[in-house]
Amino acid sequence: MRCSKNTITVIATGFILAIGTTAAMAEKTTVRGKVIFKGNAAKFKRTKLDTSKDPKCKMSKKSIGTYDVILNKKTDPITIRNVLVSIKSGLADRVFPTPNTPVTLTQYGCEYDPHVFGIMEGQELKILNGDETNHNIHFLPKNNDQYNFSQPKKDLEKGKTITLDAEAPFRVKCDVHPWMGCHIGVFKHPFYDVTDKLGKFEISGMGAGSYTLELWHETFGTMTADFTVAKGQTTDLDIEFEVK
Amino acid sequence: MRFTKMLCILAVLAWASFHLLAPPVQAQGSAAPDTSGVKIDGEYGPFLPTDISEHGYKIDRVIDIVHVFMAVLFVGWGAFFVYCLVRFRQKPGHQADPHEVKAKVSKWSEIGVAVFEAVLLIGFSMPLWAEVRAEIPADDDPNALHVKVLGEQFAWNFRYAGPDGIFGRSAAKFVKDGTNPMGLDRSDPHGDDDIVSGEFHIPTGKPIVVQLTSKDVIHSFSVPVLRIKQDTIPGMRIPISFTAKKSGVGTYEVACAQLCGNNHYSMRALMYVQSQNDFDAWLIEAGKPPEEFDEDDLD
Ligand SMILES: [Cu+2]
Ligand SMILES: [Cu+2]
Repeated sequence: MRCSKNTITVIATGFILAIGTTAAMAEKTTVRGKVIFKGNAAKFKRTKLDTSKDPKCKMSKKSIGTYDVILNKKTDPITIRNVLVSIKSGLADRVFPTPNTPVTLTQYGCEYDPHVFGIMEGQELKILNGDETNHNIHFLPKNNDQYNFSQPKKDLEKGKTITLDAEAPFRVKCDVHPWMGCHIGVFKHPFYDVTDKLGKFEISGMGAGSYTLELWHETFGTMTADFTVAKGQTTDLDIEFEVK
Repeated sequence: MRFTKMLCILAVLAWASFHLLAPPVQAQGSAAPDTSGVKIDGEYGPFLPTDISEHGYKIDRVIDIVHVFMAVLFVGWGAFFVYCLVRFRQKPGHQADPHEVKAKVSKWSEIGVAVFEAVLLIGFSMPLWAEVRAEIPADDDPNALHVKVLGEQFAWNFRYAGPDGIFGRSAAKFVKDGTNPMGLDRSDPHGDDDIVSGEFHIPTGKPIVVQLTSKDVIHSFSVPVLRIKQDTIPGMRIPISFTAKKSGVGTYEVACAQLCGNNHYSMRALMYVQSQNDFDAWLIEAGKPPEEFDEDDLD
């Protein structure tokens, strides 16, 4: 009973979505820009992490760095990496299809790659272990299941695949290597991006309209920014993130 | 129904005997398995592992005496048991006698065992315990090296006082995974030179005092080559003390000996037993502020 009902819903939403996306694609709306650091940058230094607890970590990567704040100090203005930028409001009740491609989270050199990422509700998350050591991945969400399992062997093929429900960014940690942590934001829509090495983000396909962006950073917290985008246009949006 | 039950029991027995009789895997080689990518020193065969502590021989002596004593008891009682089975088996013309036997031999052997056990406890174990556990150098004893050890799921953290010899303040609110696992307050003048490491470094020939505590559940700080094993309990500070022999220089393992969660088995740390000079050099190296990390430099 339940199964058939679900199938109908899936087909129905799929149909609506197909129309929705084609329309959005045609409009080619984009918002892009960078997240600018506003504050005292000297306070935030990225240093090497002490991984001496497990010498096997160094077999994959010689050294890894702290990740709580990563600033790009090489350009002016200074930008912030690993800010999860997503559309918070303005999408009304539109429903979007779940991508068939999985998101991959790799444990390599005893750190997570990517360190911060977004994923759509129901989209597959594939978790791999690229190290010659044991990792125990431990999810710390509020709504989702508290996944907590070991990946004792190097496994870059099959890994473990799970799906998640929509939830604000939450922490995932490794119980074997206390320094290992990453953050996942789960969305009901595909309009999110994480700022890269240069602090840049780009989100497209949301359609013309007025929206509110939410910026989330693991140490600095959240802020919002509004933007408007016209049909077939690109809105450039550099956002200042004020840090006390 | 009964038949299947029997079959099940037989299967379990067969499985158990197979596993009990099969030679243990560790017995094949005497060296510890190379599990961490680092060569571990010491002998780990079917007998007691290498002992590098100054008090260890006393513990080994008690273990040896207990084992010999148990062997004597086991063989003696076992032989007597077999003798009784044969000698007093059911035979035609014999009647069971339910009255106890009043023999002097059995009485005196019982008393002998009790006396021997009392000697073991009062003569060997208690003085050893008093020496190892009660005679701990004071917190401000300059001749001893003080190390704070914090267990957490599933790692060991080691903290040294640094050049000033005084530990700075620490609190749970400062704890940060990765960068500050022991919650040091870096604004405290005594704390800014404190050293926190995932490796346990100790010099030989110097009394070491380890203050044990835990961040989450009960762990057990176990260093077989030092003949040290002590539970770490959240909210408690438990001191233990030992001295490594001058000949004990090498790399060994610290283990957790208390089942503490699903990755209990990977809760280990490397222990580097060094000469005083090497240890001092390490302290200076470890005391340097962490290097700046730039991933562009790596590739
Ligand atoms: Cu790990
Ligand atoms: Cu433990």
